[in-house]
Amino acid sequence: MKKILFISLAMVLALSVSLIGCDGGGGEAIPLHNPDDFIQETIGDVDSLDPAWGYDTSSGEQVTYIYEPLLVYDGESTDVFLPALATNWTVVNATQIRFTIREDVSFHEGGSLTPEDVEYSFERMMVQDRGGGPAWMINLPLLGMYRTRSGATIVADGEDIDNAVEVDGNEVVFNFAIEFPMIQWLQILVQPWGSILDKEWCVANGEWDPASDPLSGEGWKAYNNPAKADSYLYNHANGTGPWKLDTWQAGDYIRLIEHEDYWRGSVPFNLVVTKFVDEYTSRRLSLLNGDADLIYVPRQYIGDLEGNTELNAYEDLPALQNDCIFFNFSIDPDSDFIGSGALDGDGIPPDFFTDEHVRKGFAYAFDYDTYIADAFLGEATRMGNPLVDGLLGYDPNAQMYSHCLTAAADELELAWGGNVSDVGFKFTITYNSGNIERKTGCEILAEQLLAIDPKYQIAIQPLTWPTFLDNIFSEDPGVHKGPLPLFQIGWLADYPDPDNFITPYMHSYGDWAYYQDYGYPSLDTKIETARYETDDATREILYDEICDIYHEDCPGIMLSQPLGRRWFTKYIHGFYFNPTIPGPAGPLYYMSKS
Amino acid sequence: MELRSYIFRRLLLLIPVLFGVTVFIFGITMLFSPTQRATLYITSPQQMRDLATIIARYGLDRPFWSQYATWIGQVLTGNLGWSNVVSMPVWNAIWHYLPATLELAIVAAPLIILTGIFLGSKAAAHKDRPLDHGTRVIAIVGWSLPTFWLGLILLMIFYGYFRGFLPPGRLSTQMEVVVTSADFIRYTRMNTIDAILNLNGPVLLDALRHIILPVITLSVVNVAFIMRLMRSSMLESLGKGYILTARAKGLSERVVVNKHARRNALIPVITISGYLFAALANGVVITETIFSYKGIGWWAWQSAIRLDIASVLGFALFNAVLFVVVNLVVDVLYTRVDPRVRLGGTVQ
Repeated sequence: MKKILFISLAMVLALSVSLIGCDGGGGEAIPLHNPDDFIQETIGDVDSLDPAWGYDTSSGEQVTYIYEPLLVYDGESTDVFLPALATNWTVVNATQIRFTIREDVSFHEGGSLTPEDVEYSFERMMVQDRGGGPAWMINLPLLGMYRTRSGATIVADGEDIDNAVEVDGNEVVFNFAIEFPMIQWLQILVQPWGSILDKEWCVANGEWDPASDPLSGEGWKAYNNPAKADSYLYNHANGTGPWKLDTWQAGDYIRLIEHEDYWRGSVPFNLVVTKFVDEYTSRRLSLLNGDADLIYVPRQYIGDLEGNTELNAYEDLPALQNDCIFFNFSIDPDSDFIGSGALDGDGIPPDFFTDEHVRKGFAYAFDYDTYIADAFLGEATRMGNPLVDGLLGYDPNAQMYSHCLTAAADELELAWGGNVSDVGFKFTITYNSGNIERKTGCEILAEQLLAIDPKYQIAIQPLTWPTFLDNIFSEDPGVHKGPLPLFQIGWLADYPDPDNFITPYMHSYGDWAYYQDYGYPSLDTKIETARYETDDATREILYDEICDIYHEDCPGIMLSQPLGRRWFTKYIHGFYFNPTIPGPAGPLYYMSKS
Repeated sequence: MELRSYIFRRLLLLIPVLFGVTVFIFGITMLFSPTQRATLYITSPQQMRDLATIIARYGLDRPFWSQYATWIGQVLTGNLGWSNVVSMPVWNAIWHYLPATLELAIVAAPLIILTGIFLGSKAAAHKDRPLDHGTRVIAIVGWSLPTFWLGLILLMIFYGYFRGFLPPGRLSTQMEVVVTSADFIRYTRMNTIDAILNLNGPVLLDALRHIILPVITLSVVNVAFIMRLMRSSMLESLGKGYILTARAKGLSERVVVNKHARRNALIPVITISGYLFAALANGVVITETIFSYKGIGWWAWQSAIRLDIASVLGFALFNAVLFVVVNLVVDVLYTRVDPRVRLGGTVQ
């Protein structure tokens, strides 16, 4: 009996091992299915189809298929623009720009585009300004404030919102509250949050109505910071784009169909279907069977498809993204991650990272090449400061800390008057479980410091994503920052401007710098000067100086800029890479299938 | 006791059960900090700076009783809240995802139960003979196979090796277009049943191609359990005095096994089958994920890992109702299988 059982199990195992090698992934011809449609399989559902709400890549991608902005990028460029719903634009001065609105453009539901639609779209975004949403990019130049609220109180003036966008004949005029570089404004308008809505359709479906709740009154405030479900537009859409929403089966797929009356003429795909498939094997087989034209391939599986001649692979695509290990200058004294809480060999004090020699010692200790090789399989570029390739001010030869254990040991010798090297330290670093890049980063840092001195001990602890985030932040930010001594996390561009990276990393109120307790007034002033500077050459100089400060201050271990890939079947043509286009498919309107 | 009054009494039990379940789950979720629960609404790093606003917007920092009172108040008006993970009201999410899971359960459960009963009976009737050994091997192998592994292997064979023969998902892209068109009426949202009701052969064929692999995966793993249970229950029955009497009366072995022993051996199997059906109907996460057969299990799993409290509570309510109803059905079935059993009373 045991023999039979053993033989049966052995046969099952042998069968499975042999099948893994012959599952259709060996480069056989991929059949052409669905020749008129584009089908992609990816992960991560759409959050909302409301352009004023969505702030994630999946939502942004679908919004760009359905809606259109006033202008678009010219091909791969991130600073040359082509007309879209505007036929041209004129910069009047540093606080005013005028757009001439295109005529004979139809919305999916049949309405015609008017300048009032453009005015309404931007005013609605400021009126709505949902918490955690993208409206801050519109608010800043037009209202001179990031948010329309201070806490729960609405502080924006309705009249200011009204005056910020005006219709003048067939033109729409944007009036800024502050001097703001026009290039940044144009870059903001190109993104999904610059999409133009049909005012009549929105109002007819219960959205904010400027006629019944004018900005001169108080009624508009009821539409501020709504819950997602309160907006009709989260799962309904009516744009002018090449495809219109047909069906969104949440969690399963979203299907768009051709807009027959598209103002630019014919559309390359009848259907654009995005399926949300969690399992990689299933996605891979769909691609190899021709059921999908593009799939999301996690980095650890890129070897599966490498060299397959049936696929069009685009490699080394520099994402406008980076990752970094941030030092916490003011750790919560009650933190569970700092051992004894004192520099006694069994812990670290809450202000441990205020000593620049500690920070520089850690930066020298990190093995960057191994990190890129192990975490990114070599597909990432080293960085020395927050500015990534593709941005104004990016310098491939910028100063960087090299991996040098001797230099690291020297710096740590100097730290805290020599106490660090005398007694050593012990604390815990964390990563969100399942994130291979961050796990690798933690392991490399811990190993390298231990290699310098056995007294330099770092424990590693995985945390769930909510717990990880919870520990970055403080319950009492006025007194101290969160409990994590350091944290590794990244940043993805909102729009391709250096300020979108420098402010989060270096300004006292930046998204990450704030939670590190890093930043000081003179640096803030310099960052703000660079942000509002309108001359590119001057800006570049300013950003050079700011990046030098980053290197000198070393508030974090700047790691890498990932390089992406795309895998299409051989039937898909016309892809080009513009890092600002949300989603993996890229410029779908300019692509074809044959 | 009259059947109707018995059912009514049992359904009344739902009220304390649902209250207890929701308080318990709500209490557990409150162990997470407001920031942890606010991460549900975070879709990009840029939103971190607005955490305080998000927490205030959704009242995540209010005390337990206050948040629970708000929720229960909504529930009493028929509003189960908003499922953020799938961007729809919780009610809609249940009705959206349940049909897929129910369809799997309706197809898989009879297959599992009938195959298990048949093989278990045969194994008991042929105790210690090759048939018994063979079914034991099948049971051990089936029970030992990890679902995700079996699912992936089946996918590689029937979708990979046989080039798209049995694909994942619920329908192909073309058939999805058909079933979401105005001409196709979604009576049940179960594709096979709707295809039959719409007399649409291509959709039926396509739906069957998509459901076969998940059903096989579920069957292989679960049939082993029913089979072993049936075998041991049958062996116990076959050793009883009335079986000896039946044999002494000269009845054929077929009649003894099928008519006398099997019927009495079915009671524990019915109990377990009820739970099996409930387990299948409340979602089979791994199978639904591997085959992209998005059902209620997938939804519940997504909700749990992202701390979508309204969805988790909605699922718990659904689950509690499901199990109470299944228990009730099982109890009623006992009376049909064993005439000695009386509802609300004792075995005579």
